Amino acid sequence: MRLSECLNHASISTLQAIAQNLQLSCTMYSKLDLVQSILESLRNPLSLAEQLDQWHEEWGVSLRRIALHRRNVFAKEEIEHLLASAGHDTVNGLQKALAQGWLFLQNDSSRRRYYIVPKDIQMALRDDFQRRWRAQVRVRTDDPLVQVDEGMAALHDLHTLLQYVQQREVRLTASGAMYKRHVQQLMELFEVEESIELPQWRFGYGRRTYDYPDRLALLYDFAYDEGIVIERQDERLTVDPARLSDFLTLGRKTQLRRLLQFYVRTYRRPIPRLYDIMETIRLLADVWTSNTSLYAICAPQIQAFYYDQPTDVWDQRVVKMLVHLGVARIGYDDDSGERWFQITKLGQELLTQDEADLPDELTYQQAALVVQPNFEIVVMVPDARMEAQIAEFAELKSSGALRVYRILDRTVERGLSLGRDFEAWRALLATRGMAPIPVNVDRMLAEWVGRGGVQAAGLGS
Amino acid sequence: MVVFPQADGRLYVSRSLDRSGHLETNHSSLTLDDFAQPIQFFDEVTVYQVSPLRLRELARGGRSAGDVLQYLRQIAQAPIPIQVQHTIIAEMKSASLASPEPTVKVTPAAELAIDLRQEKALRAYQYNAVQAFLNGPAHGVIVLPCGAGKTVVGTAILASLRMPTLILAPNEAACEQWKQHLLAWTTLSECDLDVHADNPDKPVAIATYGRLVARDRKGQLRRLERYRQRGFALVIYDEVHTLPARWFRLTSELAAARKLGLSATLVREDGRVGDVLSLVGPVVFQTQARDLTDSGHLAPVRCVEVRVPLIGRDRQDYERGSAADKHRIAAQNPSKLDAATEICALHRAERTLVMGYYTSPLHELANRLRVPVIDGRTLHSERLRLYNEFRAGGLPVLIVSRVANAAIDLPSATIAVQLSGLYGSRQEEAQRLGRILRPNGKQAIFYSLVSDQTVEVRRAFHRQSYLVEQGYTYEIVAVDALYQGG
Repeated sequence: MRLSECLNHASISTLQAIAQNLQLSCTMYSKLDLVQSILESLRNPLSLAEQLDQWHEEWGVSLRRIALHRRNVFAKEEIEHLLASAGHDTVNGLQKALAQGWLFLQNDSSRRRYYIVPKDIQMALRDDFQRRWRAQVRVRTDDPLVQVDEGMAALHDLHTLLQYVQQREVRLTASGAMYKRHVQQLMELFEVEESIELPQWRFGYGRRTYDYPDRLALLYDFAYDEGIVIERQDERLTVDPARLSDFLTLGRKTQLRRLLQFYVRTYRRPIPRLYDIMETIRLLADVWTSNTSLYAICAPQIQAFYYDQPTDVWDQRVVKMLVHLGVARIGYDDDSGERWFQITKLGQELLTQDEADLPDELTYQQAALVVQPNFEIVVMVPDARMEAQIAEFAELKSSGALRVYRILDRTVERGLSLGRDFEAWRALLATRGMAPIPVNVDRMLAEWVGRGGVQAAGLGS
Repeated sequence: MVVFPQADGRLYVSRSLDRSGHLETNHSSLTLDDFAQPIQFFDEVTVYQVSPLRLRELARGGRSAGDVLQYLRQIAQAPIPIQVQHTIIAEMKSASLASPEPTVKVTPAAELAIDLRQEKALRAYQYNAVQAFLNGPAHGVIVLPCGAGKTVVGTAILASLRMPTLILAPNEAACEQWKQHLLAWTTLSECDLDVHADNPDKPVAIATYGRLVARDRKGQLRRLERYRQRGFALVIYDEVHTLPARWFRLTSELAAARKLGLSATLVREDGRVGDVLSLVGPVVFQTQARDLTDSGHLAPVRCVEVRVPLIGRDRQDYERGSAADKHRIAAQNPSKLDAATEICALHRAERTLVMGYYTSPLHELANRLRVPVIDGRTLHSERLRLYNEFRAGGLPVLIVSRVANAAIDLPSATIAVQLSGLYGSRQEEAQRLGRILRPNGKQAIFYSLVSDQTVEVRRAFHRQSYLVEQGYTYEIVAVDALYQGG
């Protein structure tokens, strides 16, 4: 609801209070006159700026939380709680806010009362905060030498994890965690590697934080939460094929956004203001912004959490994880120098677009892979479903900007012994390949398949 | 051009996938080759590896890590992995920190009167290799494929530096070849050369590694000691990668102002390439067979793997044998001799080189074809005579055992047949292929005979991967295809 509508719905006494507060010289008894005068005043940039200054002074951190809130409609207890953080007692505070023209009481048909901040006023508040903060942060226009940008690596590694669980027998310890050997192998396959040495005391950041390093824990918890991986009673980890295939039908950015949403949901418990922090960052860091100056802006929203000091929370739980999720990137010129922070293009999309609007640049492409004569399959256009099929007779060799699988006699044998369809797999390589399968590779494949006891094509020809 | 950077420093480059279609705007005038070198050549996707050596070279040329990263970010399809960024920065920083002392002063007294003969001209890449060494660090390795003229490059460097020089080669035949080359290419005369490591006062000495590190009856390394005291200004290590580590350490103790390593490949099955680099020096110049094939300096080669069945008694023995037996039986499969005979007949008009690991099949084949064999027992003089005859065209087929693996110039062979080998050894593979890579305009064919359904098949698979990565075409045919005239 916009300001004009809120004013139209407001009672005459509310309007009079606002007009007095704004020191308007209009007839106090004509509703039409009051509404028009108030609108005129709050739509005038100069007088609005004056009001904003006053509101800032009065409400401080409360106003910030309201401005950044994803909703503009609040229940009575909610708004009282928000206003209380500015130090006002609840009754007076509410009255005062209602008289200032940025908060309105609404009665809907069910006679429930709720409070509303007009959408255009909320936007103006947000812009105002952005302007103020902009004056405080330090930015740079040139690119830092080193840039830590993980792009869609989190999603790729999630797919690697799921593929790994699907292709191998993964056993769990009595407490339900994967054995260290598996974690080590995963780290070798992952695009982004983490140290598997964990500090002693860890909790609060998800279900398996205690067992796995942060990034893997997030990926794993997400897969578990979505019901894609299942920790079975007999201490084995498996994949629910139906859930997996449902998930993979989503666009890649949509998948990543789900992961981001899961991160916010999980980390919000230890970091209650996480959403506000991310909004602040999004408003500010569209250019390279000094990490310390950005932290200074966000600090009021960050509290210590057990062993994590506020700076740890910022560095390890917010910045590091946002980089892992591809939302932000970190840049620096040398190891000891200043760290710079920037929201990526991908991050802007993930944070602002609705799922339906997320562009998926990777629409189905016929030619997506290359079979190299040295028995490597190079996947040029990522497609998790296609790769899941490739992995039936090949194994992941390296991941990065593109993923490389290699075909070996044992991977072919393994596929056959698991009853996978070799002909369908070969057809996939042929149809999705940018070039025909090299003759020497085809020859070896025919031979390996022949050895595995399946009808061989063109053997010895 | 579309580049996909991987965390291990590999850059997958696709020229056909350029979806953008726009012209490349390259402000920095850098190219991929300035800081990476191709390691796998395929039609669709070529794989480059970020090269510390080239990065350092670039840094010495005044370019910064920022230039490289900026260029890479322009052409890359995805963010540059942090490990790759760190490598680029660290290498370029180390180069700019190190004081550039490319050349070592030579005392004028030591200068020799050596010049290249007027009529001899270097090819462009040979010239570049010579310049890279002369302007590079005091110690360095040049990697050129077999047949590309490593001896020529070494000779030209010797003539440019005009220093007392010791040349170390893997065997006597290679020493002889160096001698012939020096006489033909430079103004040196025979009396300036010491070929048997007996007279250390001559300006240029040529010796085998083995002779240099041989112990006398008292177990002393007398010869090595004498050369150490003699103090050469330049030591050339030919086929540097083939050296056993122990010899290598001994010979690398020789004090010299400059050391040059020459090699066809830096692939070692024991993975100890690092030893070579740390004991001689960094690679200062490298070129790939594929580049030289494209420019017409080397003959294009087709690799053909011929599958020969292992049957009858031999098959039974094979099935019963131990792992070592299996390898031997598969290698000595008598059916291979029939196939080799057939191949020699197919290419009657061309000169054919037959190579093998086990000598008895080689001798049997020699009897059958009535051609000579060179193996470990063949006298040195006899070897030289046979090589010369083969080179001159007097022999259509020459059969050699392992001895020919390195450092023999057999420029006229266009067909090579590999009867058996240490299939797993990529180094050996590069050597063998080198035998027939000499330029003579004709398409060369490298046959290797593999016993079907034996351990050899698996070994041949490794070799296939290596050869296709070098950009050669590779075919597998059944032996019947030969008899049908294929």
